[in-house]
Order: sequence, then C-alpha cells, then structure tokens
Amino acid sequence: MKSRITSFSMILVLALFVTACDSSSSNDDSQEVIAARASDVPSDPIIGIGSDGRPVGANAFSFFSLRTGQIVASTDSASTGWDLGFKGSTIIVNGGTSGPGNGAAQIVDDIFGDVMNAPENGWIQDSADTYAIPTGSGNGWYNYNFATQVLSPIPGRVLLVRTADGRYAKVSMISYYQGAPETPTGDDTARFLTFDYVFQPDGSRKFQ
Amino acid sequence: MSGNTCFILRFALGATVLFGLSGSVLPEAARAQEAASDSLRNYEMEAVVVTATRSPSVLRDVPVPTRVIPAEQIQARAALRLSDLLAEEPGMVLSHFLGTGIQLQGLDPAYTLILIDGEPVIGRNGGTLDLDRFTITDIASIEVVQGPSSSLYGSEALAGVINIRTRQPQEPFRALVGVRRQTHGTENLTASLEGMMGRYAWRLNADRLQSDGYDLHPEAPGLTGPGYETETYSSRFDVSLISGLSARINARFATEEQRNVRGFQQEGYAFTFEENEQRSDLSLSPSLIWQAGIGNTWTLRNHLSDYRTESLLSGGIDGREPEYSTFDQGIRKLELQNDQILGTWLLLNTGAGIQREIVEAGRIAGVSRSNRTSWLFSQQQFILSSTIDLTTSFRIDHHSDYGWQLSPKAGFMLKSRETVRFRASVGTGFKAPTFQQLYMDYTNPVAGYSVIGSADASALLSELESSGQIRSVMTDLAAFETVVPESSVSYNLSADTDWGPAVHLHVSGFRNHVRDLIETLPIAIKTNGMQVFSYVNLRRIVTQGLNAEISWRPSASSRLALGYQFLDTRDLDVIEGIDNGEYFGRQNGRDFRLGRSDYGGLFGRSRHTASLQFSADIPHSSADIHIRGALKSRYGFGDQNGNLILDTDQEYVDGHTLWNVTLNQPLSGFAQLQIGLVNALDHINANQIPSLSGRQVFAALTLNTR
Repeated sequence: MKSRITSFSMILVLALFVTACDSSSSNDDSQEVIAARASDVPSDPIIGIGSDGRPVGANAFSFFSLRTGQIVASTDSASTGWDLGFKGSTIIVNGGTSGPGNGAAQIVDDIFGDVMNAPENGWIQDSADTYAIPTGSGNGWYNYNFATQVLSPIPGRVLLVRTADGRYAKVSMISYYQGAPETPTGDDTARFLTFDYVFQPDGSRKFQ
Repeated sequence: MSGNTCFILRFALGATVLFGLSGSVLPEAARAQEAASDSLRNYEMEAVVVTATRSPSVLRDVPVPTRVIPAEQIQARAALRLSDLLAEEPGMVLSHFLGTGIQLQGLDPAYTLILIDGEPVIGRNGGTLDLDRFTITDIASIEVVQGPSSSLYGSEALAGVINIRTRQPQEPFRALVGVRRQTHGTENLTASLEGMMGRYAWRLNADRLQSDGYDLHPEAPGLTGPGYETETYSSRFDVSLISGLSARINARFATEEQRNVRGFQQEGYAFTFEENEQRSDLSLSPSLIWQAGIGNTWTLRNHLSDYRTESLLSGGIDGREPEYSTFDQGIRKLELQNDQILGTWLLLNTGAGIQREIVEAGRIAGVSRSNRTSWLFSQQQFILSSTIDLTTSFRIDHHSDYGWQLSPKAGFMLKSRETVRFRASVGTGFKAPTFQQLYMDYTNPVAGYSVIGSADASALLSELESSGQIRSVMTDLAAFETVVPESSVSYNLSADTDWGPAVHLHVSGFRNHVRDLIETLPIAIKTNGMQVFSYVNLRRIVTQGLNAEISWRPSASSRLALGYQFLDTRDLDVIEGIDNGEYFGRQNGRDFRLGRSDYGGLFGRSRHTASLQFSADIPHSSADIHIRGALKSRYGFGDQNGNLILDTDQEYVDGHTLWNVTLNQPLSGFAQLQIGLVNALDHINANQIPSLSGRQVFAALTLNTR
C-alpha cells in the first residue's frame, strides 16, 4: 500500500449495457487501494410492462466485481468472480444464499471518507430471511418518497462489503437514476445505479 | 344544463313542501331588525359567541382566544367555498393534502375539530376534512377557537375548533337567489328561503356548484384540477313548544361528483387511469332546549351523520379489472348538557354523551366495524373579582378500543378597564386513532405490500404467519399494543386592547407539545419480499409561535386588518438525532453531518405568514371594495436528498402572496352585483402547488326580497 488513489477524478460514463463503470485503471494484480465511481450500472432496467400493469425488468441481477470495476456475465453468477449483485433497488452479496463466495455486508451511518477500517465483527450474509443489505425504504441504502415517487440514497449511509474472496470494500450509493441527476424526478429513467467505492485488495481492513 | 334544471326542480319541490307546512306568510309581521349602531365601543368585540365555552358569551369576555368572521364579512367578500374564506384570516394557513384543510397553530388539518352548529363533521381523508365541501351561503358566522379544546369537545380539538354557525331564521319572510359565473366554467346557483310564523321559524337553502376544472400541465394526461359538480341542501327548523321549551332540527345533505383522467410516471413509464369519485354527506341534528329557570338551561342533542364515498378506477393497462371501492362512515351521537349560573360568581357547564361510530369499507378488517365513545365534561367559570376570571374544565372520554382519556384545561383572564384583556391558559388536547389506524386490513394487489390496523395487528399477523406468508417478523409482537390517542399539552397567552372604538389590537403566543404521533412502520417481511406495515405511536413534535393583529375601522363601512404569524416547528426526535450525529446531508457528492441550524422543521410550515384585509366605500358611488392578501414565506415541500427531513434549499416551495379582490355594487334595493378577482396577480406554481389555478374572474348577481 504505497500509493493511494483517493480521488474520484477518473470518472467515465460509458455506453449503456456495454460496460457500466469506470475504473482507476489499476491492474488487477497490484495491491493498491482502488477508489472509483461506478456510473449507470444497469440494475435490471425496465424492458416493458408486466401483466399487472407495472413496469418490469428482465428480473435478472447484474453482477459487479469491485476488483475489476466491471460487470460480470450472468453466466458466471455461480462463481466468485463477482462481489455485488443489483436488481432494481435490491443489492446482494456473493455469500450465504446468494452466491458461493465468502461475501457479506453491514451498514454504518458515517461520512464515507471518515470510515477508515472495516470492522472485525457484525458481518451479515444473505439468507432466506433477509439480505445483508436489507430491502425496503429506510431499511437499507435508500428512502422512497411515495409523494414524488423518487428513490433517494440515504446520505451518510455507508455499505461495508466483504467481497467473494474475503477482501473489504466500502460503498456509498449516489443515484438510482440514469445519469445520476442531482434532483431526480419520476420522469428520470430508473434502475441505473451510480456509486462510489473504495476496495482494499490486500486483504487488510484498512481503506487507505 | 340538465343538472341545473334538476337542481331547480328539487329546490322548488322542497320550498313548496315547506310553504305548505308553514301556511301563508304575513308580510306585515314585525321586522326583528336591530339597528346596528356604531356605538362608542368596538362592536366587533360585542358579538355573542358559543364555541369557546360551549355556551353563549360575549366575544370580549371569552376565556380563550377566539376569532369571529361575521356574516357581513362573509357576504361582502363573496368567497365561493369555506376554504377560500378561512384562508384570508390571520394565523390560518391553507394546506392541500387529500383535500383542502386549515393549518392552525402550525398543526396539520387533522388536529382541528370542524363543527357545524356545534356538531362534528365527519368524512376526513388522510386526516384532512376537505373544506371545499362547504358552501358559505347558509353560514351566519364562523367561530375559530385557538388552542386545545379537548376538555370540552374531546378528540381532534388539539389545535383548535372551527364552528360554522348556520343562519338562524330571523325575518318574517326572506327569499334570496344568486347566480355566479367564474373562470374555468365555474358556475354557482344558490337559493334560500326563510320565514317566521308564530312559534315557527324555518330556513331552506340550496346550492349548486360546478366547475370544468383547470389544467396546468397540458402535456400530461387529464386535468391538474379536475372538474366537479356539487349540490348542498340544508335546512333549519325552530319551534317553541311550551313556555321555556323549544326544539330545533338542522338537516344537511350534500353530494359531489368528480371525474378525471390521471396520469403518472413510474420508473420512467407513463400510465393513465380514469377516476370517478362520488361523495355524499347527510346529517340530521334534532335538539331540545329547556329553559328550566333563570340561568338554568338543559339541552338534549342528537346527531346522526353519514358520509359515503364511491370511487371507480379504471384503465392503466388493457384488460385490467376496474377497481371499485367504497367507504362509508356514520356516527350516532346523543348528548345532554346543563348550563347554570350559580350566584354571581360561578357559571357551570356540565355534559355527558355517548357516540357510536360505524365504518364500512373494503379495506377494513371484517369489512364493517364500529366503536363506542362515552364522555363526561364539566366546566367552571369562576368570576373571582371584577378583574379576574378563572375557567377550569375537564373531560373524560372512554373509547371501546383504546380506553380512557382525561383532558383537563385551566385558563385565567385579567381584565383591566373596559377593554383590556390578558388571557393565559394551559390545556390538553387529543386525537383518537382513525379507523384506518385501528382496523385497516389491506394488501396492495399490484405491489403486494400489506397494511394492518393496530387493533388487530397481532391477530392478523399470526393469521398471515400460519398461512405461511411471513418470512420474518421485525417487531416483538408481544410488545405490540393498540395505538393510543395522539395527545398534546399546550400553552396560550394573549393580550387584547381597544384604542377607542375604531382600533383593536391583539397579540398572542402559543406552544404545543404533541406526543405519540401515529406513524406507519414495517413490522414484518412477507415471503414475497414485501413488507407488512402497521401503526405505532412514535414521534413528538413542538409547534410554537407568535401572532399580532391590528384592525382599524375608520368609518362604519371601511376596515383595515393586518395580521402576522411567526411559526417555529420541530420534530423532537429529529433534533435528538441531529444532536447524536445521526443525520447527514449531501452536497456536491460529499456527505456531512447536519447541525441544528440545517434543520428546517416540519414540512409544509411557513415561518412567516401575514394577512391583509381592506374594505372601503368607493367615493361618489354606492359601491364598496374588498381587498385581501395572504402571504406565506417559503415552506418545506418534501424530502429530496434521502434523509427524510427538511434541510436543503431545493426542498422548499418559494414564498408567495395571493390577492383577492371583490367589488360590490348594489343595483337597487333588492339586487346586488359582485365582481371580483381570485388570485388577482396570477401566481402559479404548477409543480409544487397544483391546487392553485391561475387568476380567476367572477361575477355574481344576488336578488333578495329585502
């Protein structure tokens, strides 16, 4: 951990569906901390109207690797090649009932930059009862406003993630809408996630 | 116009029946007309009011701050609905959520009791009793009592009481017809008849209002403000039976129909629904008044009321079943009250009553439910000396679901000279849980989440559990109890004084602590991943503020009134959370801890509101003009940044002032023309205030037998 990449300056918004991230272009074998923003990661985008009249997606998770900053093909969903899965507002980890990995998560309320370490205890894996990052407004990473029909990430809510291979990361959700508009409305295209993350590849709990 | 024809026919039929009952009218009967003299005293303060103490007393001497909107103001301003009229009063702020309500002392419309002639009005939706439902043509005066009055009236009287007093028949014969046209195809027809014959006095009113609605978003499907059609019939019948004993029957029937196409966006997809809603509202209030002796009155009141809505929602997607739902609410109330004057120093008001409430709706567990409230209240008005009055009161309510509720209140008044009054009071208020909060049993057929009422939560949850629909329970069910009423402790201070006969000054301050606010909370997760919600007593809020008002009557027909309110509101649990560092904001993608100064208080509250009312004769003419302005400073609209509280500038609606102007021109002894502007400066905020259409112009013609 000699050099640090702590800025989010290398943000790229790439074409939809092709790839959905930028990365700090660090090569995978280095042990440098990765700090990056993933932009417009498709999270089961809407493809039509269901029989009940509501918009539906393909009902499929997108799988994301924090190490590579890339989307992992769904054919690899049974592997440890991914760390987080996204479907609508639901986030799964690669562990427990959701995947074969050692993944887990926990939530803390703090300023993203102030979270220096991943804790030793408190890790939760996805189970049949509940996900490590709970669903529902106010329970996990977002609040849903019924009046404006807008889903907003909760400021100060940090998702701590243990990856499939036992590394640690912290994630701050930025937006649920395509292009991450500052003040989204019901007209914006939903189910495209933007988030900041810091990934520590060396196996330690330190985020710097 | 077939609707109009039908309306006129109905009215004519009713009128004929009443004429048949009361016989011919004698035009030479004496006019019970009091010369409204402009005496040396400020006569506005000499009005007799009934709401503050549940018994007649002079406005100047009531123990709690009370405002009266007198008949001539109501008539002269030519407001269309009750909400329009109230919005022009200082300290009364309109709020729009599932109808138009009044925010009093910074509390939501749900916390103000609405009475018509002393009897409660039902039919609240999401807490709001839609004041657009009420025509003003049969109103004689409106009394507004500020501060908690649960010690006399029970539930809902936390922020105050608005009592609509209908016109008492007081002329041998009077007939009135009015027609009004207004922008947006709004058309109002009114007719009123009244008469007195020996021991009988009667009044019959009919009012029909229709509007085409308005559209602030032409690009979106449907109208922003849907068109509607409403009819209101009301009547009053007074008879003196034998010496000292009189009877009265008030009846009211109203219907409303509203149609609209609604479109909404969900996750970028647009849907349209056709909506058709019908409301009807019926009440009958017979009462007996017995003057048992000098200063000893017994009143037996019966009140039967029904409120029903039917709504049909269709569309959305082809082939989908239309959704039909009904809501039917009724109350049956019986109450006995005794008012006594004991010696020269004590007025005693005592009462007891019982009320049964019934609700029938598809979303209620068991479809039909009822509950029972019984109560006892007592008020003691002590005249301690020529300068000090002390008023104490308490009420005990017992409810079949949530049990006992005690509401005490005490206030004293210091009188100095004829015209200076200081008032101070401490009182309690409460608001009973609603039917939804107690008995709801609803699963959204589309989204799959469920909401269950707190009275049945344990039972309904075990039912869901045993049928295998529950994945996990989030709350300790054993600790889950039926919600208790939301309750408040409030302090009110005020001072009033006259400067001669023409000027009246009023300053007041208030502070309300409300606790046990009922909130929805997820209590379980279903196997389909959706949540089960129920109701719990959670939050505590504080509202406090200052009012200042001055009214000046330079001549008999001119008046200038200015009002200002400073309001400060807060959620105490949010304050606690901020102090504990639990609330965050986000600016330019960076999170930071919020401090107390970042918190803007409760949503929908303007820190500063002001009102202006001006009336004057127009020189060299018989016309008079009435100008009213209502200012609101910015107020919170809704959370935008995910922390659920009001903290950033983009979460506010800009402040604004609304102006209304009315010009009255008598045409002859019996005809009057009124023309006017509503929202004269054409303030529009299509996204944040859809209830506000642009400028409207109206003209109204009234013919009166007088």
